[in-house]
Amino acid sequence: MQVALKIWRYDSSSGERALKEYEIEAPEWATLLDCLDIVKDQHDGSLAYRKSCRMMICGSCGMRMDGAAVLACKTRMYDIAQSGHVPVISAMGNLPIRKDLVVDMDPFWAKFNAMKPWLQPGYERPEDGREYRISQERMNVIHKEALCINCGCCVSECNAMESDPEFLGPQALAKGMRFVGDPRDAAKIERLEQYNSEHGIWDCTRCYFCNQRCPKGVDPRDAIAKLGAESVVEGIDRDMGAKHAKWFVRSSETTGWLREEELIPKTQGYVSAIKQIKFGASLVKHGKVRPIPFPHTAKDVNEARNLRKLVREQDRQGALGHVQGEHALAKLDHGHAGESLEEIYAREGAAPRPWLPTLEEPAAEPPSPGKKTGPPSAGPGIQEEPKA
Amino acid sequence: MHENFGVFRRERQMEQQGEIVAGLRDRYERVLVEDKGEVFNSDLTQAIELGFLLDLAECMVVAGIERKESRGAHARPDDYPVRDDENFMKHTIVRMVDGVPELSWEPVRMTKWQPQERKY
Repeated sequence: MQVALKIWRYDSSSGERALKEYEIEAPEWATLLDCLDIVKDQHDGSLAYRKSCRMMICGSCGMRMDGAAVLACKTRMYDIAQSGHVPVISAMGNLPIRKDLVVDMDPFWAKFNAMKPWLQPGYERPEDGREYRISQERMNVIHKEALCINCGCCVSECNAMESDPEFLGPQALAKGMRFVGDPRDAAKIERLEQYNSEHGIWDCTRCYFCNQRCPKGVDPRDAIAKLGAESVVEGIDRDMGAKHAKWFVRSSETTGWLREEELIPKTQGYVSAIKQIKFGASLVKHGKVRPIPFPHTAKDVNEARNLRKLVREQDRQGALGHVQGEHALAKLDHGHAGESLEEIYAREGAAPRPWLPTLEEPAAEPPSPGKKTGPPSAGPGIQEEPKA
Repeated sequence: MHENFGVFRRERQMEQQGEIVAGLRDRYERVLVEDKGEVFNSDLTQAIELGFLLDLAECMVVAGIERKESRGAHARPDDYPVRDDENFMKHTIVRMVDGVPELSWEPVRMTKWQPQERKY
């Protein structure tokens, strides 16, 4: 197939920058990385990009396609080439560019190392002298975080890091959660203290770009939420972000709804809230909050209280509770409540069933390579854009 | 190497591969590095690494032809289908001497695990 690419070329030694277009002949199964290899081998040997495994496990080939971070080896070109779209390939964001598609990963690794990404010793050995075993339930808490391959796609897209380059960032914090959630790690409190300080978890803007762009399903934003939950459970809650979150819980269990009138004083403290009195007055003026801060209680408040009681009694607080919630939501999303896969794919508006070689194909339509890569939501959103 | 020097090896294919590697070596003498830059010059590193790959390929060819038995990932189903501990329980050492691979052997040091036939 014919593939056309526009690539942002850059040379840090000369400062030259240019958008160059390449047209190549590639096999139909080719990924973006295969296409770059063809460009380098046959058209322009001076093109620079990182690569190693070619199979989504080394995390070397993170780059941007049409402005969104992807792993080049995970991105199939068939659908894009067929649509006639010419994608623009550039280096990842939030990291200084060295050459073409290669970024300087030093700031990335510095934050990674600051996480002390290894188990801090101190756990007791099991009595039978065998290896320390972790329950499946505890493993579920850090399963996604352990999938990280350090490719930097999340860091490239991080909005919080764009405004504060010192922000620890999604990758480092996901790595932090991998150790905070590990029952063998003896430095949980020290880690949480570190992540709760300046440039830490509460600086995350919750834009969820990291979740969306992560090619491995690590969901770094969820990891940051788990770190927040663990911090509050451990009593590390001096940050405004923690106080803010805590007030949501407190107000829903006492009155059954959010008492917005008290949200600012409870988050910032009463003294600093006085400075915002003008803002408060305008909220009252527009009917956002009631003028007299006497809370009234919702009719079905006991439901909220019972939910909170349930969480406490089952000890489902912190990251464990977060994961439980995720599982429940996933079940709702994917409808596993007694439905067979056939029924799920037959539902109205359901995603098309992924093509498998064992399934009999309708003769008219040969499967395109793009269909094999999984459900549309699993891939980077940008792949769908050329069609629009 | 991918086609002629996988797990299952045949004498004819191995010899053929020796010729292919020699031909590639000739071509490598005229290798061109397009990228003249000093920053992240992967064109240069790839050219250097290609030389190392050719060295390694040549060593593999010499060693593979000489090991007349089947062992692990070196299987010769046509001519030597079984393991031969008597003659080949030894390490193959290949040294490049003046650009020519030189073959020698070293004995295997037995420690905890005694050799036995693999059955599965």
